[in-house]
Amino acid sequence: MFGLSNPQRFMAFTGPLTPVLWGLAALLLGVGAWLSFSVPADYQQGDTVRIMFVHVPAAVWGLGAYAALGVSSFFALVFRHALADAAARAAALPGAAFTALALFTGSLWGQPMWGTWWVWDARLTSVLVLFLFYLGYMALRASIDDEQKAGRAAAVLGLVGLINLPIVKFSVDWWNTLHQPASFLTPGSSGLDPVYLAPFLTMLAAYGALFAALWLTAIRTEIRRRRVMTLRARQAQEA
Amino acid sequence: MLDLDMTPYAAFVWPAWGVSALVLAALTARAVVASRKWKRELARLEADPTPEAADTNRPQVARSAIGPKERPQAAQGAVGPKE
Amino acid sequence: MSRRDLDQEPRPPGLRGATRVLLERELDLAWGGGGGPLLACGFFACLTAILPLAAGGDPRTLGPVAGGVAWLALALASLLSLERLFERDMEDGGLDLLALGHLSLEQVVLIKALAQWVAVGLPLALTAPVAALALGLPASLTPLVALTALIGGAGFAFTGALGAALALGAKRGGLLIAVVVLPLFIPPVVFGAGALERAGSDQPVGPALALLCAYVLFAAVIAPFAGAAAVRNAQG
Repeated sequence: MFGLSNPQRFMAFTGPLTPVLWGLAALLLGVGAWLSFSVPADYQQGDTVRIMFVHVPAAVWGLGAYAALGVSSFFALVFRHALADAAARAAALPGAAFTALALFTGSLWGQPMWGTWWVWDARLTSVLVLFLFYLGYMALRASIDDEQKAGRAAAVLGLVGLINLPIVKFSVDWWNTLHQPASFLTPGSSGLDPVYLAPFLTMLAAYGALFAALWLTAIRTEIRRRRVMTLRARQAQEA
Repeated sequence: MLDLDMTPYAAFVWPAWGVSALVLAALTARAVVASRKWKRELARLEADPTPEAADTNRPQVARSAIGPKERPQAAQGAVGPKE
Repeated sequence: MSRRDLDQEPRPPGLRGATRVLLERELDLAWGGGGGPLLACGFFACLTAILPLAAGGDPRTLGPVAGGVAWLALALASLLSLERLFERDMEDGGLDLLALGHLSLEQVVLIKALAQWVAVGLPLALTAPVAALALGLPASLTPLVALTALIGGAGFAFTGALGAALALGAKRGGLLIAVVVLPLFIPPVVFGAGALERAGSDQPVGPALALLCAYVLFAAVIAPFAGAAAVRNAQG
């Protein structure tokens, strides 16, 4: 992995990889969508079960993106590597967008089930808190003018956030045991009918491929951007 | 095989999928556009390392863009010491 | 000053002395300038008064949320004065001196956080039971409110100090600190308010208290190191 920390080697390695990921994402999304709508409706949830196929993958990869952000932050802090900093920054927006999608689709999934647009159950609340973690990270990064300082401060927060996330998740789960949620029908708590596995796993893989493509593309863009900035600075000096 | 009749849940399923598609498409578009933009810029800078005339805000560049015809000092040299 | 004083070499303060000096200085700064600890209490009181004004004074509505609202107010009031925790020293160069002094930057962050706890957390821990009573919490729970507020206040102080260090040199420090730090405040609020809830329904509060203490210890370990890294970043 450390061989990739060299920007040139990273670019060379990800050059052919990224289009493959894009293609894979497109393929899996297409197949997943088709599967999601050809599978029969659930006898309990009706057609709303199809929302699960966009809700859970978004939530899972929203979390995965944060893990990527946190781990990148760790490497950025400990090894002071610019590539790691670029990786952390690149994961933030896609991750936050996925998490927001999870919240939105979760709300739509819940309305027909629970009759309200939001339910404070453990899972949705955890996703909301994850979203807040993203907001804090992005706000911090945006509020510091010096790019290097912003990167380091954000790396500290990213790492602290990653360490805190299990704790916050635990506290939300613990909190949930105190207050029985208004409804006991938590989607997905009853075992998943095996007929839904195919669309679910396909969409899960699709979102994963898409995140990977988005993330790598953003890192590559960031590497180029920094190179441009360096070249421009050099030119301004020589002029 | 594709059963697209979502009643009575159509108002929930379609927005969920629709907004998801929109957001993912927007993310993709943003990533691709940014990537191309900086790739182009980098290629431009690496191919032509001299200060670009496009950067006309800088007086040094503007001066060299004027050329000898409009600059009397250069014109003097072109005319020759006799005159 | 007599000749004898001038002849004697001043002894270096040593770790304990340096700690005490910094702690006293921080408390002076926190409590000086009008009101002292009462300012945080005043803010807390305002929040407590606004709830019934916003939601109606019916004890049947207020009672169930009394503990929770008290904790919400605690979290918000703990955000006060965080912005200036490092910023003042950064502006007048005191932070550089502290960094060069006897204490490591990690120790400085720790002491500043402790001072924050004493300056803000302690007064709030005394005010919280009164506020909870006013909102309709049963009187038997007031000692628990004070205890959990005291412990939770330490958690808020440590995590808050970390947030203040991260936001050093950033724009809109106060709001930024809040956005960064409030998600991290969730565990102590959940455990603290949860303890009150448990006690209210005659269940054991031990686990909740233990979790609260665990969080505080965790924050006490992380905040000095992460905070020092953040301060160094902002300085350099």
